[in-house]
Amino acid sequence: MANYQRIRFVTANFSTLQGLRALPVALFLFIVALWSSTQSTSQGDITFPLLSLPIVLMLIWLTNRYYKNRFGRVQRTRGQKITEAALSVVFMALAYLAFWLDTSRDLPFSMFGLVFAAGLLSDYLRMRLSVPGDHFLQRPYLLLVTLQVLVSLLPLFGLDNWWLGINLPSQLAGVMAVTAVLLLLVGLVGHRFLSASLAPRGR
Amino acid sequence: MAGVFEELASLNRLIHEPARLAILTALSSCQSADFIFLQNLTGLTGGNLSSHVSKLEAAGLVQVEKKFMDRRPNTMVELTQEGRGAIEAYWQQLEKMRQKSLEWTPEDEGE
Repeated sequence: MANYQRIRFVTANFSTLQGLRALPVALFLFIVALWSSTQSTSQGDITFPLLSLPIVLMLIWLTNRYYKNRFGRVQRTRGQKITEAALSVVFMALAYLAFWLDTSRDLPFSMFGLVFAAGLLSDYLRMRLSVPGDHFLQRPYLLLVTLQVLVSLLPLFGLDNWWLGINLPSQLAGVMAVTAVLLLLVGLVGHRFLSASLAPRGR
Repeated sequence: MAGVFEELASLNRLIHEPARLAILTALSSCQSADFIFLQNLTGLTGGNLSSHVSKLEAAGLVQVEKKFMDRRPNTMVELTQEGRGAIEAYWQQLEKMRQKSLEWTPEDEGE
């Protein structure tokens, strides 16, 4: 029975488990974090992040192609598409708002980091609800969500300016760099699970 | 436990076969899936998968659509309405049997 639950889980969450697709996004976040450390004024030169965008988009296209060729295609149900699209819109709006708050207010925590943690948690809950009764990937997801929340709240625990310790100029840049690493880890966890679940063709 | 063997025998044999059950279970969790995905999922060879899908198609449980995607032939398999109902009914029946077996006590046998 457990194998059939796994089949349901992998099929229902096929696109979410394609973790290598998170790699280019993580790379972009990392580039932006590093770029911000080279800027001396708030009106910085955005040429470098802009130039990296086509590379990031090409990497996204390549990873999509890799997954289609290696693992095949699954078309989501109408309900799944609507849920994913709605969550994407909500979290993009929240991320934008959080970015604005983090850059315009002097908050003792990172809204951007908390929004990312909430997005990660919603991903996990959506996956979990797709196959009731099973807890695939529970530990790694909850561990990464907890890490993200802790990093976002570090100044509240007395660790002011922790980002200076990793040579980044602001809390936002520090949280972005950590988010990039966590995004990478989430992606690898999903990809590993997918690869282990889908055996090579034609055994 | 009386009647359990009759209940087991009443399971839809077309669906009960492990590879076909895996195919139908996967398809019940999405709109449609292609041959490459189903092959990876079941570990079957192309010929075996094709044979199982043909049986399911002949029974009216799935429909197959062949088309070109990115200039490559691609075969998508989708559950029919009948197929969706059949796989749901199958899992419900199996779950009922599982519950019954969990509730069974030796005293039941003496009654």
